[in-house]
Amino acid sequence: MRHLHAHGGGGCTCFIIPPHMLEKIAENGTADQREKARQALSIDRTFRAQRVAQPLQAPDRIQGAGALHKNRRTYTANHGTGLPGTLVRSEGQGASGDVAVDEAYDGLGATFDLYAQVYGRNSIDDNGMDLIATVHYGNKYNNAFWNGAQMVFGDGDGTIFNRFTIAIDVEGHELTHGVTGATAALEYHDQPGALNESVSDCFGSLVKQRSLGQTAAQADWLIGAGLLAAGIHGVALRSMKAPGTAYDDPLLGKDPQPDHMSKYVNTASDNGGVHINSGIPNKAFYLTAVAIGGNSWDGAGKIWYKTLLDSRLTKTAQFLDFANLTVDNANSLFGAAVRDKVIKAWHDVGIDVAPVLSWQYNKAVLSTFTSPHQTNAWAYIQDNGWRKVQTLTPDGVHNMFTLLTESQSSGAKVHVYVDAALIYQAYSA
Amino acid sequence: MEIALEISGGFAAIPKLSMPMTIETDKIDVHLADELKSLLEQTSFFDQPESVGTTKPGSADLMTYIVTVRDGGRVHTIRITDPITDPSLQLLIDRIQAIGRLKRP
Repeated sequence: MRHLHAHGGGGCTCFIIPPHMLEKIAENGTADQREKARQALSIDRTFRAQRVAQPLQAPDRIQGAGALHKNRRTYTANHGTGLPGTLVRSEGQGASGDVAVDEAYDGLGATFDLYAQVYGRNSIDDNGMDLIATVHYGNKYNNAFWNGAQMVFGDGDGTIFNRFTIAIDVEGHELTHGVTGATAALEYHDQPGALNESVSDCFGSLVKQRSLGQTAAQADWLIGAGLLAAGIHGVALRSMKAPGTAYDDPLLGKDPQPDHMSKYVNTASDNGGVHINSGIPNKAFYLTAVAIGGNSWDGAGKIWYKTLLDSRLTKTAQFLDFANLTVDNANSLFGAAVRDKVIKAWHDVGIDVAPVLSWQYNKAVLSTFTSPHQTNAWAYIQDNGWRKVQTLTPDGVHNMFTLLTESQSSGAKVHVYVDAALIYQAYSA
Repeated sequence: MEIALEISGGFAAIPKLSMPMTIETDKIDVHLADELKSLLEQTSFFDQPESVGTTKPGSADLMTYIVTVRDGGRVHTIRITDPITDPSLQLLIDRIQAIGRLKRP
């Protein structure tokens, strides 16, 4: 086997550890290259250290202990505030005739089914926890919440809001707060809080999309459609597809959600705007789902779910931390092509992930291009797309480009070490 | 007497609905003013701690009500978070919202 170092020289047969190559760049590259390599090394070292420190928490664990246990109990608070209230409908019982009770029961069922059938999760705690909901909470109560143990839904005042069980994604949203509490436990303020809220919107929307049998392209990506009362100018509470456009009404004002980091809202209210700035990761999820195509719960949903369970995700994670992990998990689940779609989705909302390096094995070189004196060169790598040959000497460009063009013309496969933009090393396979 | 209410959070978290509303009791119907004064007495408002309600770990979308009452020289602010277990405090919050909304455009 022959390989060429990115930093020039001829072929050799030594085994190269990727961080070692990065360290060379960190020492010898241009200022820009050095900075990129240092970032990648820092992330790589952090990940390696965390993996060593937490060997028992496999990030891709999807099945909990015991058989799936679906046990819904829906209560009414009878317009009071005592919880859980009076039991109306238990698991397996027929419709009660109380529309809020039955909507909550069905919404909890659809949410349980998404987590169980797509992600192999056994209820909120992955250990068969009962699903408890209380409806008719309070007097014309304009809210739904997760109190740490159960879901609670108000009837709405009929003037601004209808009953909060009306939209199935609201049930999915609230139950997902339970899942987040049992997994990443993202703190409920500022960016980690907005991620917590966004994760609830993402899986709430997936519950709706799956119950309607809609693909990413077909879905409306609205949260709380039907929740605003007649006469209010708006389609929903939030739009994941176009944050900031869900409502514009004299009574409510305009939807304040940003769709880009440049519009991040700094506020003390709402725990630092957790329901406002969630628009940014919401849109990244939407962009990822439509870029992958098909059913959102199979593509973007699996990436986000794996990230939620990832032991590297801390309680105080910022948007960028979460984005980095989605990119890494996209790569391990689906490979480089999907990973690059995730990178682009975050880029489009103003969050640029650190370069993620990976080995791509046995890939065809589909096309190559070089500048007239071979000072710059590019290759189109199977499943990856165009990558620029990244080297530190003109010799390096020439040598690697020669290998790539030879492979292209002969049809021989290559192993390449790449990030989203560059090729750092190439071997003939 | 002046009663102010501000709401923070909630699933909808619509900023315009959360904005502070202020009721001046001498500028509203006398029966409504008496009702609010009575509720403040029932709840021993000026003896309430600054923070009411304990939230369980992992809870989300809870609404917090920030109530400030100015009466003569006295000023007191309390933050009450759902779910409210004291029925008289719940009624006070409900009535401030309902009466405050009456005078809104």
